[in-house]
Formats: sequence, structure tokens, C-alpha cells
Amino acid sequence: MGKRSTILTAILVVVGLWLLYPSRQYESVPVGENVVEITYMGPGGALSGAAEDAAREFERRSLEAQRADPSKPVYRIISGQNAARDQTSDPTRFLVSVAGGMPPDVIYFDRFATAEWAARGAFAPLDPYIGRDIKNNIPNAIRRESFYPAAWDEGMFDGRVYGIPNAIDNRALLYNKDLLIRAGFVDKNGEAKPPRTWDELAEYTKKLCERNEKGKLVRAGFLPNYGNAWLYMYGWMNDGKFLSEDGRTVLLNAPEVVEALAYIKNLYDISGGFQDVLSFQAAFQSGVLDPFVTGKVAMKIDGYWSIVNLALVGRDLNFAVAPPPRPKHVLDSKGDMSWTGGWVYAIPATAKNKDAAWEFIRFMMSKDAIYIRLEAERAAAEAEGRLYIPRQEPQPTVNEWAFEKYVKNNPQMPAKFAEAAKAYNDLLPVSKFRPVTPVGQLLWNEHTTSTETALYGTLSPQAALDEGTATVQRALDRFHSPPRGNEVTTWTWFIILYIVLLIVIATVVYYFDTRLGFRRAIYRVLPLARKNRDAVIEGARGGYMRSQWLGGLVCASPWIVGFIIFGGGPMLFSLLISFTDFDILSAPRLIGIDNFQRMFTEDRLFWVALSNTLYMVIAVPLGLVASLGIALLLNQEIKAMPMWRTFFYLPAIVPMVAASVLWIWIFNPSGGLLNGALEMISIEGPRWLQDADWSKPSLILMGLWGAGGGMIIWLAGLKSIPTSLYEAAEVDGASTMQQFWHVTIPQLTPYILFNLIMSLIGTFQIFAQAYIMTQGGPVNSTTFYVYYLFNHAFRYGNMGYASAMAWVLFVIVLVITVFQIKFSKKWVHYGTD
Amino acid sequence: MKLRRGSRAVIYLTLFIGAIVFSFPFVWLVSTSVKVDQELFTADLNILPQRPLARKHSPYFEKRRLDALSGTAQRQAEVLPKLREIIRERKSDLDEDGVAAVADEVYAKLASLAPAELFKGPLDPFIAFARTTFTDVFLNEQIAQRKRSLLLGPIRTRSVDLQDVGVLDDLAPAKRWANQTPKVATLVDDSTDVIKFARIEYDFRDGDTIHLSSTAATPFDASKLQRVQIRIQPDDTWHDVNFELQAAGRKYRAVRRAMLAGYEWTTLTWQFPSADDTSNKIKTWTVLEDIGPATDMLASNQIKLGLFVNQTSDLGAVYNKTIRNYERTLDQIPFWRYVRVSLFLVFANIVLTLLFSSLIAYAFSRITWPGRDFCFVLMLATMMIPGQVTMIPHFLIWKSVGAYNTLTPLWLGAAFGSPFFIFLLRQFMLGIPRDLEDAARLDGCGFLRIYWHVILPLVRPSLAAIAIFTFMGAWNDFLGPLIYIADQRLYSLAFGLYAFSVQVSNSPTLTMAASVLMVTPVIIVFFLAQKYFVEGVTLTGMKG
Repeated sequence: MGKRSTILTAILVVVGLWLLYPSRQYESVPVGENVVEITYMGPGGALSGAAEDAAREFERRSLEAQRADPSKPVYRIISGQNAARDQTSDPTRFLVSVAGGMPPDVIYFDRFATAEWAARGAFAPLDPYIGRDIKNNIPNAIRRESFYPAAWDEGMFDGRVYGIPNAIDNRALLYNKDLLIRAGFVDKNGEAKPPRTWDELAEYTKKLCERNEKGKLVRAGFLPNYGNAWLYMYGWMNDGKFLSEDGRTVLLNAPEVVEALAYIKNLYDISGGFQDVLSFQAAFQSGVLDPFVTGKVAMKIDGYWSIVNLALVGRDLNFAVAPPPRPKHVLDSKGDMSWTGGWVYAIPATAKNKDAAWEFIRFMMSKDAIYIRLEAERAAAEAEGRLYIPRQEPQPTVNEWAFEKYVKNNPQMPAKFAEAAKAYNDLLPVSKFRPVTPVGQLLWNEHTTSTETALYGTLSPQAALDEGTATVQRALDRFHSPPRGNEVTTWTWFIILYIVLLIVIATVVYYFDTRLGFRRAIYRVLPLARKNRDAVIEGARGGYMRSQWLGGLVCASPWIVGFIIFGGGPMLFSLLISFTDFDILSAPRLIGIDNFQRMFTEDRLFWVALSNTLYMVIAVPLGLVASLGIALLLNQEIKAMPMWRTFFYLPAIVPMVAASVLWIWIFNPSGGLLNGALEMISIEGPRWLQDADWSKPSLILMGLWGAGGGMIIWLAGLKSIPTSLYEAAEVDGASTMQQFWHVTIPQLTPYILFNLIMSLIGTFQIFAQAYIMTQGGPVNSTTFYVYYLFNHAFRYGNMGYASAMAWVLFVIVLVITVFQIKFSKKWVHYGTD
Repeated sequence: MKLRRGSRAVIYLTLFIGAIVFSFPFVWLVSTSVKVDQELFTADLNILPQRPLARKHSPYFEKRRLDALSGTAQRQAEVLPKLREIIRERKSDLDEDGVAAVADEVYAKLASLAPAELFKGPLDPFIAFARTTFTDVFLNEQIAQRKRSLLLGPIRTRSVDLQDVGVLDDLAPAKRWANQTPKVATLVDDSTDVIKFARIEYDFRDGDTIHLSSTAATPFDASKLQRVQIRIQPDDTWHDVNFELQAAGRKYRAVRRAMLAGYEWTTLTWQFPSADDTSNKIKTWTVLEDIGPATDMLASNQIKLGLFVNQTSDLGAVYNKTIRNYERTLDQIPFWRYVRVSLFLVFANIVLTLLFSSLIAYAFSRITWPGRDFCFVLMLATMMIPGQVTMIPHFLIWKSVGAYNTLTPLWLGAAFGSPFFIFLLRQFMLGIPRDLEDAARLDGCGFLRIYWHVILPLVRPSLAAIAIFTFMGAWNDFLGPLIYIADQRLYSLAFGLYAFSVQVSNSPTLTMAASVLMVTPVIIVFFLAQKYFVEGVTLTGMKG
């Protein structure tokens, strides 16, 4: 390359990059001065439809207010793709934005988790804003009295308000009247009579089941966990509690709850056992093929949204809604119940525009905004020929008003929908809500895991719940009496220590490489490799090679600097952090070996994750053989080589996101490619990703399909084998097979070692499949080590614990790799050329 | 290793089967990207998309069904004629196509409702069951499942200050429009219990275009008009829909046609150019462009709408269906913005990686300096560190220098070299004979000139391989933006695709269209550059 062209290229590269660098600004912003951007993190993606209409109105009003009083700001609502399934169960994006100091100004958050994040200090308390509005007599001030207590109290923690409820939903029993009548469950007027007690529910379930000649379930009476009930529902039905009044004791294993879980199990047994029901459920679809709409399920407990859905796809279904059944003695003494969930608006503690955010929340909760939203929803629904049923509102007056206007006084509303909506609304005042506790998410996770464990029959209900209770109780105890330790407030000493360490190491290495005496002294102390033990590098003795030293250091300096900043420092830091309690939002606290102790003695999931990961090691030899096979094939002299190589390499190119959608469809138990093919040869395929026993083999299968990606290194290896070796073998009369075993394989051993080490390291770091496809389920069967670690770090905010886990992983990988390298001396053959 | 001639056929056969297995994802990706959602949510396997048909007339009954009918073939053969009879009795106005289509639908519905024992044994109980289930509502629902017609719902207008009103609401739907092409189409009023609409019955054998016009008064000044919306139920004929608007003395035309795709009610929105067009919002609207002065005299609060349905050929329908998901995808995400970010990251990463990894490898292979072996072993050891160990500190470091929510963490790291690439390059460089370097040194070249003029040209194959590796790594990087980028304006394509797939999780066809757009450049690059891949990777030179 000539000097001129080099400079030209350099300039082109720099200019090209500069042109590509994306600007932060939108190309045009509609209004000029004093614009305040409110970033809004909502469910799914950008604000759209009815909610966007309301937000637009908010922006418009601010513009009008500015025209009247130029000192007032104009608000713009910024919302966009936030890349989270929902912010609560997948809070990575939210957590890093808070940790990075750039959280959204308003977040739409699952109400039951508000307390947990408030306890972490992620949310700002809203009482000052509420108080200020009331004191200043602001119209539309948000007041506690105007909400259902179940909604308001769920957004509170420690006596403070952290979330303003903006949605509510409760659950009830939906039943198919036709099927009940056919089975003879009628009252004296011949009308279908819903089950009211647990005994009745069991009886109905039994009688409504239908099986085909093979004994397979074709119609189910009632599936306890189909719809939206959860163990919470059955526990409350049985008058159980999940947390003591003072919030200090977890009661997940209280007798009432255990009884409830046993009852659920019993209901499944009545329908033919949990596994049978799961294969039956695997064929369920949504939309017009919803199993409740098509009569495959006679009764279900589900949320209010299911009647909104029925208005869309099941208008001729003869259904009705009843309160959830309870054990008779409880029903007699306590009456009906249900439970609610919902969402809140919350303001992150480090949000930039808190006041503006509050303005927005206040507007969105006002009657005006709700009216705009409901009208837009109604217009959209009715213009499309759908029945419009508004969702439930957390403010009783608004909820009643919406019900009157859109349901009761709508002449087109079929009576069954009006009655159903009313039945749900009547249950709102007696609805319970999930315990408000800093360990809410964990309690939820454990309550579902315990349920699944008991239903799969791994443990008895009592044992499963005991295990779950212990886990949650420990976390709760830790919250109330955290391990004592000093806060680390300054890092200066760490940096000084690190610099001193670097200087020491550099000096030792320098003397080791340049002073023979020093080198010998080291060898006396350390049993290092003896090869070249007396050699000292070039330039140490003579003078003229020394000029090279500077060149070497200059050329290597990018790596050296990179290692100091992004290698060694972070490793030491992470080691230090692993001895602390650190949630990224507040200063770390030194707690000694507590993290490690917990990991090895208390954390059940740690071991599950580790064994899941070890299981995947099976995939390593399979993958190596498969990719070597492909490479051998593509190493032949064949026509159109680029095409074939591209074909085989395709799986490695398709992005993980697209590949996971593809494989989810291939593994779909009903209608998926794999089971479709198996059906042709009369084999009933397993439930693949949805079955705890099959999920890992499924992922291994998927990994094998990606084997084409590994062929590159093999191909390079095959190409590097001198043809003279084959020619010699041929002269000696070796067959193809013999050539393969005695020439190819020995020559490839360095590549085998390299691939083995890299694949093992890769296997220990499996993450993306679990993150995108399975989210660790079912029953934690795909909770792999790194996925679990990532959850601790970026989902639960336990950075200290995650760092400790990372170090344990490092040690494991290190031991395995060192062992492999040591062992490799016996079989790896390095070429002599 | 050489194989005998007889094995050649076996090799090609294996290659062929392998190619099918391994390229299947891409085939599926492409085929799904041109499907409509309904084609995915069926119980049967359909790998190829359904062919769209540009029907000449509408309404019509869709003969094709996406799912196969359940139950045994024998039972179907027995039952379907009987069902057709019953349907003919009940609905005398249906033509034979309609009867056949509705019978299929009724059978499918009955099959899901009927107790299993009705599928074996005598036929009569099944027919008896059918008769009891057959309410009018039931039958109408099944007809609606298969009948395709083009329906027009309400018209709404919105002003720039967000006054959103329906226009001509007091007129019967068919009266809202003046039919300029009575030969081709007629407008008929119709309604369900919820909604009133106009049905357009047309026959393209008598002309290629339906032209409807409508003059409406708005409660605001027409110069304040921001958008017009028309609710429409398409009839799955894939014809083009064009739109013209006259307001405030000017005439406007939609920059892009809509199409009669699918048969779900949708909203067509036309909007004047605004700040929305350059934002990251989901583009649910089509922009209107000014095409000259108005041709009609209108009052200041009047607007005139022109709606055109233009016939497409069968090939045109195929074209429309093929690009529809791509059009929708480009509407939903700021695609070109994402591409720009990705390109920036790819180029920055490639340039820095090539420059610095080779420089470092040069230091590790061709120059002697104290600490070299120690550093090399240290570097190999860092390859073993799980990324998760340093992920959290890295995040804190970048954050502390104010680089959170900037692109810097996603490319600057490349300047520190990547151990794997350094390792590859070092192995390659070790194979270069010393003489070349010595000759250059005798000519008075310094270490940098030797690096630039002697070493770099010799390791080109390796550099090419590394460039491609880097390209694919940077193009597909998903975890980096997940952690470092908060602002949608800085999403890269791979991450934008993830965010998009989360957002439209109920519509995989769109995810697939976006994936195809994202994957295609990588496939092309790989196809063109694959030989460097193999040449440039070598692990030998690694001795002892």
C-alpha cells in the first residue's frame, strides 16, 4: 500500500464512520422552546391506540397552557420499544436503566411487585405529590379514598405510596351452561347450576370429563390451573394466608394452603392425572379455537379479560360467571371471594422529570383522560363490529360509571355479557390481593414452583411447600436483618492497591525475563515448567536487541491497557464484590463469605442450575462429531462449493431471535414439525420444550442443528494436513477408513483439543436459549447456570451473589480446562513441519 | 484424504440432504415472512404460503380451508352431503360455493363440540346433534367465517388540535359515498347488531377501477385537517386501494397504496406530513402528498374524499402479498435508523479489531520484549473467564465515564484487541519466515514499518476471516445493547429485532420479515467471502 492511498483510506474510514454515527435528535420536533420530554416505559412497546390518544391530549393541553402562560413547559411523551416482555417479570432493561442513571420518568409496573422495587429504593414515594395536590386544591387530585382499597394498598410499602393503580382485574368461575345442562347439573328451573363448594367442583369435574376409545381426554370438566387461578386462589378459597399480619413470617406451608394444593392435585387426578392433562392442554389454541369457546373445557377460573375476549370470539357461547367455589364450611362463614391484580404508574427514584411525570400520571387518572381512552376503545371496537366491554377500573366511581354507560345501558349488549361483567364487579369489594412484601416476586416464583413440583409428583404437597417456604423465609429474614457489614463507600484504596499490585507483577516479570539469577531463584521456589529454564530473552545480555523492547511494548500496549482496565481490574473488582451484598442501586456492604455459604448450603436452585448445565455437556461430543462430519463432507472436491458451504453455515447466521421462534414452532407438541413427522410413523411425540424431562434434549437437538457453525475451524484443520501424508498412506495401501484413523485424526488433534476446550467453555455459558425461548422453565429444567446468574444480577439485583456465582463458574471452567490441557499431552499430536 | 469415484454419488446425496436440513430455517423464515398470520395459527403443517387470488368479483365464499377437517374420511363423506342439505333448507339464498364452504365450517365446528362417541357407530345421532346445535346465530357465525366481502365503516377526521370527529355519521353508510363507477360496483347498506356498514359488491369484468367519492363537512376549518380514517373490512382479494383528498383548495394523494389484504376489520389512516413521520412511532398511517390545486369548489369547512379500488392481476396479488409483511415491518420499526447504527458498529468494530488485534499479535509473535510470554499466557487465560464475571464491573466502568446509553461500550472495546483474534493472527504470523523481516530491517525499517509493509500484507487471509467474524459478531450482538442502550434511537438492528419480536409476539410473520431483512446481508457476505474463512484460520504454529 502506498503512503497516499493509506492516508486516503484512513480519511475515508473516519469520514464514513462520522457520517454513520447516529444522531440522537429526531429530525424535527414540533414545538420550539421549553420542551420537557417525559419518557414512558409501558407494556410491550410504544404507546398506541386509545392510550396514545390520551397522551396526545396531555401534550396538547400543555401546549395550550404554554400559550396562556409562556413560563410553562410543553410536554412530550417519549415511548418506544422497551425490549422487555413486561417490565416486572423481565426487569433487566428497567434495572440497568436505573443503575445507569437514566430511568424512564414514568413506568407502568405490575402492582404486586411495586413493594419489592420500592424496598430496593428504585421508586420515589408519591405521598409528597399527593399531599401537595390536595393542599393546593388541584382539580383531579389523586386521593386514596377514590380507589378500591385492594388496589391502593397493594401499591404501598412501609406506609408510603409508590404506585398509583391504573388497572385492576379479578377472577371468577366461568362455566359452559350447555355442557352443565347436558351433564344434568341444573336447578329446579332447568337452568345450569354452577358449583359453589369444593365438593361440588370435584363432582362436576369428574362427571364432565370425556374420553375417547383410547382413553385419552377429549373434554375436561375443570382444569385447576388453566385460565388464571394459581395456588393463591385455592389457598384463599380455603381461607389460607400466605404471609403473617406483621409481614415477618411466610405462611406458604400453612395447613390451609397445603390442603389447597392437595385439592388441586386431587382435581387433576380426577381428570386423569397431571401428565395426561398436560398433553391434553398441549393442543390448546387461542382465538376462535380457544378450548373454552370450543367446549373442550367446561369450566375455568379466569380473569375479567376473558369475557372481553369472549365478546370477540365466543358470542354464541352459552356461558355464565359465578364466584369461585370454596370449601363448604368456609363459604358458610366467610362468603364469596376472589383476588385481584393490576398495574400502577410509578416514578423511578432517579427519574429526571419527576414533576412532569406526576403531571402526566395525574392527567392519565383523571376522568377526562379515562373518558378519552374508553371512547377511543369503544370507537375502535364498534367500528370493527365487535362488542365493546370496557376493562375494570381501579376507581369504584369510574368503574361503575363505565359499566353503566358501556355495558348496562348499551341496548346491543347481550344479557349474558352484562350479567357476567356484573358478577365480576360484584366480587371486587371482597377481592384479596397478593401479600405486599419485599420478597413478593420470590414468593410468587416459589408458589408456582412448589405447585408444579407437587403436581409432577416429585414431592408431596407438604414437602414442596415446606421447601418453598424455607426459601422465601430466608430471603425475608435477610431483608429484615441483613448480614452485618461495613459499607464500601470509597474505591480509592482499591485502585491504589490494584496499581501497587500491577507494579509488583511488572517488576517480577521484568526481572524474571532479564535476570538469570532471579529466574533461577524463582524456579527454586515454584515448580514451573523446566523447559528453557536457563534462557533469558533476547536483548537482556546484548545491547542491540534492546531497541526492540520498546517496539514490542508499544505494539502490545493496546492489549496491556485493555487488560488493566477491562481485564484484571474488573476481575479483582468482581472478586471483591462477591464478598459483598450489592444491588447496584446502593453502596455494597462487605459480608464475608456469606454469598458462597448461601450458594452451597441454602440455594436449591444453584444446584439445579449447575446440574442442568452439566447435563448439557452431553451436547459437546455430539456437536464436535456432527461438525467434523460436515467439515469432512465439505472438504471433498465438489462442485459449487460456496453454495454448499453457505447452506451448511446458514443455521449459524440466522439470528437467535428468529431461530428461537422457528424452533418453538418445530417443537410445538401439536402441529409442530417434529411431532407432525413423528405422527406419520405413528409415534406420539413428547411435549418437547414444555416437558421438564424433554426440554434439555430439545435444546441439545437444536444445538446440533447449529453444528454447521463449528465447521470452519475443522475445515481449516483439514486443509492444513499436508497432502504428502495421504499420498504416502496411499502408497502403503491404506484404505479410506485407515487414512482417516491414522492420518486425519492424529493430524487434527490440536483442533480437537481447541474445539473441545472452546465448546466446553461455551456449554458452561449457555444463556441465550434460556433467556429468549424457555425463560428457565418448565419447572426450572432449563435454568442454566449463567441464566440463573444473569437473573440474580439483572433481574433480582443481587450483584454480589451473581459475582460469587461467576467466580465459582470461573474456578470450575479453569479446573476443567487445566485438566484438559494436562491430559492433552498424552493424545494431542503437534505436527513436526 | 481422497474418496473413490463410486462414493461421489453418496457424497452429493448426503450434501443434498444436509443442505435441506440446514437451510430449512432460512426457507421457513422466508416462507413465513410472506404469510398472513392466520396461516400460522392452524393445526396443520403448511410450509409453503397460500397463493393469494385476485378475485374478479365480491362478495364470494372462500373455498379453501387452512386446516384439514377432523374425524375420519368416511364420516366426512357421509356427513357433509347431509349438512349441505340442512344448510340449503335454512339459507335458501346461498349459492353452491357458499353451501359447500359453510358445510365444511359447520362440520369443523360440530366436530369440536360433539361428544367423541358420535364419531363412531350410526350416522343419525350425529345428524340429530347437528340439528339441535344449529341455531340461526350459529349458522350465521359459520357463514361469516367463510364469506368475504368488502365493507366500509365510519369515516373519522382529526384536526391538528386533536378534535376527533366522525363525519357523515347521520347518513346511512351507503349514502355517504357517491358511486362514480356504477357499472363495476354497487353499494348496499348492511349491518350487524353492533355496527352499520356499506357493502361494496363489485365485478371487475366490467371495469378495472371502483371510484367512490364523498364530500363531507368538518366541524373545524379544513385547513386544520390532520388525518382521515376509514374503517374497512377487506375481502382478501389483494386489490390496491388508493386515496385522494381535496381540502383547503389543494388536492392530495396517498404516497402509497393500501391493499385489500386479509378479512379482519382494519383502519386505513391518511395523514398530512408531520413530526410523526420522522419519529420512532409505529407508522399506522400513510402520508398524503400535495399534487396540485383542488379540482372541485369546496367550502372552507368541506373536504372531498376519493377512494379508489384498482384491480390487480393474479401476479400483482402475489406481489402484494409478498411485500406486505415487509411494508408493515418497515412501518413498525425505524428500520433504516437501526441499520445505520448497526453499520456504524460493524465498521467501527472491524476497523479497530483489524488494526489493533494485528498490531498486538505482531508484538506477541515477531518482537521480543520482557514479559511477552507472561502476557501471552495471561491473555489465553482471559479467554477462559466467563463474560459474566466481568459483565457487572464493565457496566459500572462504562457508566462511571458517562458512557451508559451511548454506543461507545459497543465499539471502543475493539481497540483493546480480542484474545481469540490475537491468538489466530499470532499463529499465522509465526509461520512467516524471519528472512523477510530481517531484510526489511537491514533496509532501515522500524518496527511499525515492518508491521505495515511486511507482516500485514502477508496475513491478509487471516484479516479477511477476522473481518467476517467481527462483522457477524457485531451485526448479531444482542447482549451488548440489552445492557448498555436505553434509548430506542440507539438500538442496533439485532436488538431492534428482539424488541420488535417482543412487541409483536402474537404475529411471528412480522418477526420473520424483519429477520429476513437482517439475515440477508450476512448471507451475502458469507457467500462471497467464505473461502477466506477457511484460509485465514489456522491453529498450527502452535507447538509444544
